[in-house]
Amino acid sequence: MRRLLAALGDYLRWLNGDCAYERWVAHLRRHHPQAPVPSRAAFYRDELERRWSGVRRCC
Amino acid sequence: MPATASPARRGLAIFTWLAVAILGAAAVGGIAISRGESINSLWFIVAAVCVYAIAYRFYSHFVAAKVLLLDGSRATPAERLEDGRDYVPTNRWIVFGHHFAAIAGPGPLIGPTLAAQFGYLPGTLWILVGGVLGGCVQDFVILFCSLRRNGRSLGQMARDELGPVGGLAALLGVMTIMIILIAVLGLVVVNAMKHSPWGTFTVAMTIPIALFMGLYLRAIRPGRVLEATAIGIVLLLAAVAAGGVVDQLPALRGWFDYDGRVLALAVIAYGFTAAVLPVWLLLAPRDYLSTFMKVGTILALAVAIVLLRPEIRMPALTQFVDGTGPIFAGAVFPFVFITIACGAISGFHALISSGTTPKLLANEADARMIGYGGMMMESFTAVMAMIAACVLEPGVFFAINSPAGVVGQGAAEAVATISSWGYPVTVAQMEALAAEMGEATLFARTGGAPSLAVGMANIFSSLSGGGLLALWYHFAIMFEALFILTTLDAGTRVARFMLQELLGRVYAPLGRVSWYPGVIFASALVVLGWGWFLYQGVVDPLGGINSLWPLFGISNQMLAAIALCVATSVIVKSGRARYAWVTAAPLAWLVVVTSSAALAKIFSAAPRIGFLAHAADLEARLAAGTLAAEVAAQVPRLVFNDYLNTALTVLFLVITWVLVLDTARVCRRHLRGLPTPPFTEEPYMATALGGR
Repeated sequence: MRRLLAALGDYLRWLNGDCAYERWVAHLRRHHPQAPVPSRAAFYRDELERRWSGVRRCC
Repeated sequence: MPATASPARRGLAIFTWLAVAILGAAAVGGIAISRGESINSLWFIVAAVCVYAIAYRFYSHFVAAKVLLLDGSRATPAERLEDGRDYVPTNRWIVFGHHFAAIAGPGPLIGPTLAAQFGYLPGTLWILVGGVLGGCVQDFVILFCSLRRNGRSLGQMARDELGPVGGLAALLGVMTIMIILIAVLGLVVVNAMKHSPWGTFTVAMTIPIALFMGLYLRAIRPGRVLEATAIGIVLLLAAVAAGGVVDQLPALRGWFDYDGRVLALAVIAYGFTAAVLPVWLLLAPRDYLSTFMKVGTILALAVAIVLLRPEIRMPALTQFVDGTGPIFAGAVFPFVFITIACGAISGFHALISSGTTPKLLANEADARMIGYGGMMMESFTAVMAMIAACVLEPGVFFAINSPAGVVGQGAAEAVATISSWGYPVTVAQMEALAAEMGEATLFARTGGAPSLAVGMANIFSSLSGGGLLALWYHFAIMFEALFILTTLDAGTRVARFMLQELLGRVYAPLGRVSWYPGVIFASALVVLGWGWFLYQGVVDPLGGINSLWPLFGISNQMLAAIALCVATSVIVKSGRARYAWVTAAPLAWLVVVTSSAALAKIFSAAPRIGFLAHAADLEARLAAGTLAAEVAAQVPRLVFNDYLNTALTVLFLVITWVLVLDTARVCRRHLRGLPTPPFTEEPYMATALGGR
């Protein structure tokens, strides 16, 4: 039961972008180890602006 | 089934699918031929599930294997262009959740509710057949096309595959549909809040809650979305309950009790503010909330319907198939096919299937489950909305949804008209219902949201032992308004970007998305655009739904036609013209449907259907002096509006036909070996992620 809840929690975190920052940091470490890592707050700020510049929702 | 399956397993599979086919045929047949006695909603669920299962297993497999040659060994854009942000190879269940949350909006809930005036049968059949042969195929094929083209958008693909004419038509089409969509959804919210202090309070509270979440996510706990959403949901539920208290306090009640005009102006002011505020403050947090509520409530409704299996009270067909329906005028052909767009086939989905989703898929083979399967889920949502509308007594359903201009101003007059159609309803019954739902009145609450909320409240309330109807009703209103307002914010923003792109060609600084005067100017133009239609809809004596919803349906189906044009030309150019019917057949049907509906809306002699006839009728009555003074003063504006609607409909017709003829031209040239815009598919690259 606890594992099921944990899996559900992970699913929700992926779905709503809660773990986008961790994903981005992992990506930077893997592909650009020299690049500076942005703070969580800075990342969240740019990420929203970028994501909402196209069609995201339907009728 | 795998080729190595043993004969025994193969036999079992054949037997199972035969059983599904027989059960499905029996359920669809049962729905279709049932007359007189009431029918259980379980039949709808069984019919839908069997139709979807068979279509998914066989038809989508055929489309994947023979038409598109879906290739699980091919690297997707997410893998090739991985950047950790847009292009991220993602687990398919997560992509499925994302995609479904993006495509499912208020459309599949409202369309079937309005179309229930024809009876349950025409709408349900169109949702099922249109879904599996039209909408699912469109979403799937467009997703596939975009996957093979680095995740390019529908507009870009139209330009690449068809040429500049197709590209411009697509851009114009998307912008106009956005304006009409926002206007009609705004009208739905306004009608749901009209003289309802409880509803207005709850909807108004979603704004400070979203602002609080925005600040929380920015300053207190940056980026902790799940936490903020959980807090937001608790606050939202508290706001629904608090609305009941506000409704009981005469001192506070007056603060939230408004008529349609004031509410329309408030929604317009809100739309403008939301469009110019930064996204983190209002739009993004509202979207987190609405996605959660939307998916959660749809799942809860599915569970409740399966558990309760309510009886359907609406007849299979009503006399309104002849075009005299009170909710919107127009015969069952072609109007049921444009009234239910989302849920059967919705062009808007092509924008999502060629937007975020293709950049997330880790494996090309998953496109079938996401594209085809995602739309099946939405189609099922539409079936549930149909059930929720049809469990109401037909008399009650028509009393809630018919505008006063059609059934009469007073309650007594309205029930007399509706009862004379053969759907008995009494004033006492409607008053008792309104009191149960915590509303002042439920007469002429057009737009679909209140009747859907009554249906949902009945269903949810029987699950919780029969009480709390008013709470459930306002929960349902809040749930609908929440994501309608999200669509309104997000749509205004997207339309603003498109307008800025167009304006930027005339005067470059207007195109810069960060130049504040440009942002304000473009936002104001967009908001004025939909605000005009919204306000006209609110003051329209026939109820704005009658003119606006068909316009929305026509424009949405036009967008679907554009998408299917692109899909057809891609299939033909890929050398598989013999399978082009997979998209060409739904395209042909849509062209027939949109063209007939558009021509009817322009030229029909019935004033409630034809825009021109309506204008002529008004002018004739003005000249004869048979109009009341306050209506007479409005005539010039109403007539202008009729001409504006006519012009828009003509525009939709022209765009559709330009695209269709252009597609035919490109396909014909390709088949004759003449030069066409090049086939732009990216070359094959093997996946390193373990293909299937």
